[in-house]
Amino acid sequence: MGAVDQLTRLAEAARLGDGAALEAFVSASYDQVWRFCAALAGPATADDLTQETFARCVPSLRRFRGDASALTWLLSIARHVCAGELRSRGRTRMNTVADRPEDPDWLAVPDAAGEVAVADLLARLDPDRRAAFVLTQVLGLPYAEAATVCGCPVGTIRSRVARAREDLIAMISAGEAAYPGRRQARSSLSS
Amino acid sequence: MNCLSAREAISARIDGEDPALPASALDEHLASCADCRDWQQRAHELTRRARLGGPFLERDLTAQVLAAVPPVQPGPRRFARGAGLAQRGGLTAVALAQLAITVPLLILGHDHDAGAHAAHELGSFDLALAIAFAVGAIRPALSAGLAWPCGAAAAGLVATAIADLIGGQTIGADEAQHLIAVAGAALLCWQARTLRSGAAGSAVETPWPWAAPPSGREWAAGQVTVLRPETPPEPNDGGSDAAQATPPGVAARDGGKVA
Repeated sequence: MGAVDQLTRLAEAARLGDGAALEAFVSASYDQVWRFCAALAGPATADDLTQETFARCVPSLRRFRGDASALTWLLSIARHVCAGELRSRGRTRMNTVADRPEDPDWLAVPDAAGEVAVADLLARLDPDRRAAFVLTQVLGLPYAEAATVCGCPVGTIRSRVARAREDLIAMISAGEAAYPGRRQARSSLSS
Repeated sequence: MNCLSAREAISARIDGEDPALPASALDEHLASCADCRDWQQRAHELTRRARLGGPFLERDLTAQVLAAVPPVQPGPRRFARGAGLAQRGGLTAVALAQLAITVPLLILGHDHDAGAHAAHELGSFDLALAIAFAVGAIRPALSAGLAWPCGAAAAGLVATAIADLIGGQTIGADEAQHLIAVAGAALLCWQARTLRSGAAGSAVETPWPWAAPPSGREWAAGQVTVLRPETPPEPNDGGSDAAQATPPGVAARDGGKVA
């Protein structure tokens, strides 16, 4: 977790008014914040949500204490920002990534190589499961840190990740059932 | 073991986390359940794809993000904490000193050549000041409200003392005790200023050093308040920070002047 420690050190320095440290802090962390936002609320709004996350976090850097990892702190802010965004889109579209209104089919459609883009399927997950899955799989956080970001016990993360896997596997199966030829192609490719 | 809890354990094991189940029990279930074996296979495959899969950001967002964030202010946290303790400790000391003044007045009914009743009235006045300083030490958030009446009282005491000293109706030694009221009022002003200049919602009282450190839950709760969307970013943070970073002596003088 050397990278996280480095980020926390940068946050500490930025807190004390070091402009270069602030720039390094943003530069070292925006990618993970962006990917988290993109997975939670869609790539089209991820730029704005990333900016808002930092806009909220930087003024409160003064209150940041080194006893928490700067990354989990940043991601928990991002989670709140994204939750606000999803709420403002309204309950009916809560569960969907609004960037893809042209995609009415809930089935997972494999591409030419037979691979279903997992990122596209994430949008159809329950938001809590999606957050747990993205934090642990896409960003590679340990369950304990994901729990800090989500403000829930580690056991809840464990079960949400498992449920997310169940849901995704079910979606992929449904897609493959609808496109049996593609499944064949993938099987032959991977074997 | 049912498949639901088995899959939760499989999922945790794939991630190298505690499966919360004995490995032997899980392997036993896997040996007997073809569905879960298949699921494990598919979960491994899904995990590989999710870890490699996007969405990815190809651009450098640093400049864009930095342009959107307000400039960070030097964090005077250490100073603010020290200042907070100085304020609360100072107010406690001042309250005790002020209380000591009231003893001869209220209990003994004695104040120089004034009558017993006048001494009682003066004692009540001094006791009110002592209580105000004590409240300021116990509940710093109230210091803004306390600063005004205490400041006015201190200013009145000083102004009349100077006038009477010039008129030769009193001597400096007798009037020196009013400096306690002045110090208390200045501390209240300083404390009110420090709390006000904290960012919105951060008027957190400086804990006494022996108080337990805030728990993770309290910290998390604090974060939630910070994150509330309706909390507007403080646009005019700069000036207040400067005030926070003012050396104690200057701030106290400043506070006295306000009073």
